[in-house]
Amino acid sequence: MDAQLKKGVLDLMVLSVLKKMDAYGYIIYQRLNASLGISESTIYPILRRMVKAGYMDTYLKPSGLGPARKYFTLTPEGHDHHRRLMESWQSFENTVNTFVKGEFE
Amino acid sequence: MKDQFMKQLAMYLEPLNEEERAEILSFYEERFYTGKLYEGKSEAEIVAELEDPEDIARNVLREYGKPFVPQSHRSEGEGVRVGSLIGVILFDMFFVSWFVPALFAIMSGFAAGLASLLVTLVMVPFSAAEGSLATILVGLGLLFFGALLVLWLYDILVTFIAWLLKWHLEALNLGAKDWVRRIRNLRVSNFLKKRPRTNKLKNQLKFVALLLVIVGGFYQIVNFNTLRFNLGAQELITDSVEEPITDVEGWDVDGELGTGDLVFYTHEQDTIRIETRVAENADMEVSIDEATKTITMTQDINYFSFNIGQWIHSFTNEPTIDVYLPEDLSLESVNIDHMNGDIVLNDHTVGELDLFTINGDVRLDSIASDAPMHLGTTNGNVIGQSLSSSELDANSTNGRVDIRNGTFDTLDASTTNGKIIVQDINDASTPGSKLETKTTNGNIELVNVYMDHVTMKSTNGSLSYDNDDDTFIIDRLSYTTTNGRTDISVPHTRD
Repeated sequence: MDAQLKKGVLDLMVLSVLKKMDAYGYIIYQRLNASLGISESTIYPILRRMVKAGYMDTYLKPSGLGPARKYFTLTPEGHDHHRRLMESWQSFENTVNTFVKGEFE
Repeated sequence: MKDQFMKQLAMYLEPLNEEERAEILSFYEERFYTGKLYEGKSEAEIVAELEDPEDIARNVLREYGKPFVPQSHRSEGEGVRVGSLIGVILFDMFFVSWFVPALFAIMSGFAAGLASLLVTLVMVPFSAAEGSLATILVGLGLLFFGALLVLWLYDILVTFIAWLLKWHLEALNLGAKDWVRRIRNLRVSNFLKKRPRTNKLKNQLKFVALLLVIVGGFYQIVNFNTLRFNLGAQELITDSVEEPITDVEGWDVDGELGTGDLVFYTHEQDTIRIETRVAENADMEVSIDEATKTITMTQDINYFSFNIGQWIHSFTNEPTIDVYLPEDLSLESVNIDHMNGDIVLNDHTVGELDLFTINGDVRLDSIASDAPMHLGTTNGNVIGQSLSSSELDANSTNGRVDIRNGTFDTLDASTTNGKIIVQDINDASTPGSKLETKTTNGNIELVNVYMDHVTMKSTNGSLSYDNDDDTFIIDRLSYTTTNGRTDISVPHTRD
C-alpha cells in the first residue's frame, strides 16, 4: 500500500478506537492488531505523533495492581481531525467502490 | 529476560532524543507489567510475544525518520574503543599505505600505456593501404576495452576509499557522515546509473567495439596473405648501397623510419655501406651524400599497431637496416625517429645524439659525445654501456632504463613501468653534478654512482644506493618511495 495512504488509514483507525473510549497503548494495539495484524512497534510512534499534533491528550490512571497507566483521550482537535479523515476516507471508499463495481464511464 | 530486552531496545533507540526514547520504552514497561499482572504471563512469554528489539527499533526509527544503526557497527559503551582504534592504525600502516598508491599507480600506468597505444594508432596512415582501416578499427575496439578497464579500476579505488573513510569514522565514533556517501557517488558506475542514456550508449559502444575486434580481426586473419604485403609484413627484399668516402670527419645521420632494427656497425673499408632488408612497401630510401656529408634514411611510415597478422609475422621475420661505417668516421649528429624496431649504435664518437623509437630498444655501447644525448622509447628498454656525455636523457614508458660505466655531468633516467639501473658512473674524484631517476612501478638501483645531487623517486618500487668509495659524500640526496623498501648505504646529506 502507498505509504501516505497507509499512514492516513492508520491514523484514522487509532482515532476511531479512542472515539469509542479512552485507552492505554497496549489496548489500542490489541484492537488494531485483531483487525489489521499490524506490528506493535509501529503503533507507539503514531500515538506520540498525534499527542504532539494536539489530537490527543494523556492522563495517568491508577491500575489497581501495578503502576498507573498512561491513557489516551481525544481532544476537540482530535475529534475534528477524525471527522476530516473520515470524510476523505468515505469519498475515497466511494470512488473505489464505483470503480470495482464497474460503474464508471 | 525483560532487563536484557529493555537494555537492547534502549541501545537501538539511541538515535532518538531522551524524551522520545523514554516514551517508547515506557510503552514496553507498561506492556511487561500488564502481561505479568493481568494476564499472568511470564517475562519469557511476553518477550516471545513481542518483536525483536532490533525490529521494534527499525519500525520506530522509521516513524521518526531516523536512520537505523545495526549493532555490529557500534562500539560498546561510550567513547572510542581502544581495540578498534589499534586495528585501524595497524591496517593503515600495513595495508592502506601501500594499497591505495599502488592501485592508483596501476591505474595511471595503465592509462599511460593506453595513451601511448593511442598515439601509435593515430600514426597508422589512414590511406596507406588496403587493410589499414581494419587495423585502425581493431585498434579502436581494443582501446575502448582498455579504457573500460581503467574506469573499472578507478571505481574500485573510489569504493575502497569511501569504505575506508566510513570505517575510520566508525572506529573513531564520529558517526556516519553524509559526505562519505557522496564520495561513492563519484564512481563512474554511479554516474552511468543516473544517466540511462549515457549508460545505454556505453553498452552500445561496447557491442560495437567487440564487433570491430571480431570482424576486423577476422578480416585480418582471413586476408593475412594479401594484407601482409600491404602492411609491411610482406616478404622482405634485400638491398644494399655502398659509397666510397674520403672525408671521414663530421657526418650527419638522419633517419625517419617505420620498421626494422637499425644497427650501426664499423668495418675496415673506406666506404659507407647500408644493407636493408625491409618490406617492399616500406619504400625504403637511402642516400649517402659526401658533398653534405649526410646519410639519410627514410621509410614510408606505416603499419605496426593492431594488425594481428603482423604481430605473428614480426616474431618470425624481422626486417633489418644495417649501417656499416668506417672505423675512424666521426659523426656530427645522429638523429633517428623510429617506430618499430631497435636502434643499436656502438663504438663511435658522436656529436649530438637523438634516438627515439616507439616499439623497440635503444642500445648504445662505447659512445663518446661532447653534446647532449637523448635516448627514448615507449615500449622498450634503454640500455647504455660505456657512454660519456655532458648530458644524458634516457626515457622509457614501459621498459627498463639501464646505464652502466659512464661519465656524465648530468643524467636523467625515467620510466613508468620499469626498473632503473645506474651503475659505475663517474669517479669519486671527478663526480658529476646531477642525477635524477624516476619510475612509478619499478625499482631503482644505483651502484657506484658519483654525483653531487641525486634524486630517486618511485611509487611502487624499492630504492637502493651503494657506493664502493665511502669517502664520497653526496651533497644532496633525496629519495622517496611509497611502497618500496629503501636501502641507502651511501654517505649523504639528505635534501
